[in-house]
Amino acid sequence: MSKKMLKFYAIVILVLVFLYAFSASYTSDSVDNISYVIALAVDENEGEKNLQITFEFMDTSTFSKEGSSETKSAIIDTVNASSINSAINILNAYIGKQINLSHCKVVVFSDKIAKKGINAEVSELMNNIQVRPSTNIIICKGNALEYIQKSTSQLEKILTKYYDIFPNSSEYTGYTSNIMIGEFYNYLTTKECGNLAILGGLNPTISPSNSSGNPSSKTTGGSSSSSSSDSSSNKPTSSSSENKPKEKPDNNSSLSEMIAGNAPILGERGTENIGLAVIKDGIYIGDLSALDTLCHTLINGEVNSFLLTINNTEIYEHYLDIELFENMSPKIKVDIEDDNPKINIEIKLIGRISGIKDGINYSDEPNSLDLDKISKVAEQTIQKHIENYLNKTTTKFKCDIDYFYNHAKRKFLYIQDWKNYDWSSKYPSSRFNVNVKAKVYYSLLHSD
Amino acid sequence: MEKINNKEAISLPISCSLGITVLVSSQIIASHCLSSSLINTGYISILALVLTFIICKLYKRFIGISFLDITEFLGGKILKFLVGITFLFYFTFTASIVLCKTVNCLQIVYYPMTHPNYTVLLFAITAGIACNLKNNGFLRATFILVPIVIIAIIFIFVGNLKNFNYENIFPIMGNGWNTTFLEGSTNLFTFGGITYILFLPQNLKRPDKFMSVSIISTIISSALLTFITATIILMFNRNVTSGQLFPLYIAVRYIEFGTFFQRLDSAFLLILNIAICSFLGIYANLCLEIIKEISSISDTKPISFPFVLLLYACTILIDAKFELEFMQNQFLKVFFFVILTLGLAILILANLKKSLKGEIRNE
Repeated sequence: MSKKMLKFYAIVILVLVFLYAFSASYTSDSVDNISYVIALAVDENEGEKNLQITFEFMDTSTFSKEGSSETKSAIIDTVNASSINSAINILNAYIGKQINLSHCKVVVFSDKIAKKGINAEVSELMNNIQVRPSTNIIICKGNALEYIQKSTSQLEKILTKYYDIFPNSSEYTGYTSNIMIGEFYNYLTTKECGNLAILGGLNPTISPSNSSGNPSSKTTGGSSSSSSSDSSSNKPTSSSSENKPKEKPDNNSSLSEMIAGNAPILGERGTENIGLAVIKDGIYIGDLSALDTLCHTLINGEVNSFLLTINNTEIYEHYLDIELFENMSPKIKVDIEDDNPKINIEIKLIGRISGIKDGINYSDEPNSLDLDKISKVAEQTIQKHIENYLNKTTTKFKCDIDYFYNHAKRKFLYIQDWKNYDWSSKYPSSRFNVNVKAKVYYSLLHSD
Repeated sequence: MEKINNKEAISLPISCSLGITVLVSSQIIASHCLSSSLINTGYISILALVLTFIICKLYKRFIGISFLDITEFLGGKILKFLVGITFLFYFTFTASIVLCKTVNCLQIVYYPMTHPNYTVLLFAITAGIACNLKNNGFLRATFILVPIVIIAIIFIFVGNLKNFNYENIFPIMGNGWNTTFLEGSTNLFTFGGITYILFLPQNLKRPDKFMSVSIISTIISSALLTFITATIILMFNRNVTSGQLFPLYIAVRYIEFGTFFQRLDSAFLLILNIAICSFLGIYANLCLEIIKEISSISDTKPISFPFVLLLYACTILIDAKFELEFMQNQFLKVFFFVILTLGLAILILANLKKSLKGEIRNE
């Protein structure tokens, strides 16, 4: 046999060997054999299988040539299992395609399960190579299954895109924060601080049957399974009584009390994302209201602009809307000379008056607006809110959720000294010195 | 091997260091030194530069002569054979560990159902083909690939700027002076290119440029190590730096530019895989050069595939029988220092011998 023929046979044999070897991985990862989860909801379930895990899929068969012109329905399957991995395993057997989490946009935990601790579930997800670190993490006040059933947007037809963009409002409202599982896990494994997740809630004005995109839901529980195309008949027991439309709570929902679920919103979508959930040692311990969240995002430099409404008759007889922008990153200094850390926060803002009840020309006497006075009032208002918020973190939550420990670490040379200082026990006795500087300009487009 | 020009020569030690840095050492540095990782990186970079300078100085009296010929000059053919075998074993072992780590990562990410031995075989065959390319083909490929990998690493650093927590470098001295400087000096093994530098002079077109080639390659390797370590240490805490996947890959997964430009990890892994092929090609070629020098073989091509089979066997042995973490954390470090000490000792003694011989001749 010639040398060339030998070479040829060797190459053919090698190609066949590699085709055989890699085909198994290729087959399992082939797009045709994979069903992509876009959202995952984790609820509590009574019994041995203590988790009720819901997977939301996009029905890709409904995608039309017209692109996103029509609303795409979602498919929802629920499994009762002891862990997320076992739920995936059971559902793999049920749906006949391999579940893949690489396009999972949000992970929702019900408040009930979060109060018991979500360390194990988050670790499980982070150890799954398919889960992206940019997946948003939500703690839902109420049932997580119901949350993803109601998570639809009339303005954004493709659900995955809605999940992609909904946390963006944090940049221009400060009422929520774009918290991702990668960052969440990093803080979860840090002993010195608390942790935050997006707070989700169900809009009680909308019944599940009214919410658009009404997805089909099926429940699988270990070996026994039940299925139905009617979503309302398969709701968990805790939510089945909530099918009838509810009224909004009778309150004005001031920003300091406003959280997801009680916001003064009437709309088609049955979910809200306002405020943040506070987690300590993996356990959900409380909520940050819209105002608290704004303070948190201000301290951490996460908010680009926000609206402040001032109702002070000394400077103007009606309300004043001021749009404020963070002029530069907040400066934070931590003094640890004694057992009560002293935390200095300096925030610089610039703002423009964006709305007043009566359009006036600010320079006309005697109705002129004293911009220095307005700036002073804005400073004092924000400073007071931030101080109240920080006191809440030390007295109510007793944990550092603004990651001041990062600044305190600077004072130590060695890790062991830092560990010995025990920041988590010192933080509740912290004293704060908040200094807000604001410069407000008049910038109405039209005035009388 | 044909003579190579200076630019190609600079890319070779960089490529040797890159494979070890990206896959093995950056994780070790970050998990051992923690917040003092960047100080440790600066420290070992200075050490590497000093060592490179010393090697270049010691080589000045042996311009254009191969390291093994210097060994023969010092202690005869037996010493040449023993040193050659030691270096051969070191390079094969290093290549096997890097290959083992690459394959393990690939299995986790892309080929969960494929036995790692097949993936090892694929890489080993690529190394074999690289050895058989005419006109130093693999060297030219390395010369093109190294800048691409450098750009990728800088891109990962820049793309993650928004995810950095700059306070992660505090407490500045981490676990203490001992961990940062004394124990930390063992992290010098990340500069695998230094050992390659010993075998570089005889292959250079212009041996007089040996010092500048070596120094530039060490400086670039140091800069890359700094970028990689900074990316890891500014992004993650200990839990991530001690995982099974190399942390730079996890860092790439965080890069997103809006909702359109996402999932750059696949592109990075593709570049890295090609870079690893080049890395294996360099090591395999170097090993064949050593075999050629210590034996009477004139053409190494017939033994290139038997050698890559040895590389394959070595890798699957490490994968199957040894704890990879122990091998890379302990064995590779110790072996690097043995090799470095041996190389320096031979050069110093050869210089002394040459001086003595010169004096005798003068007398």
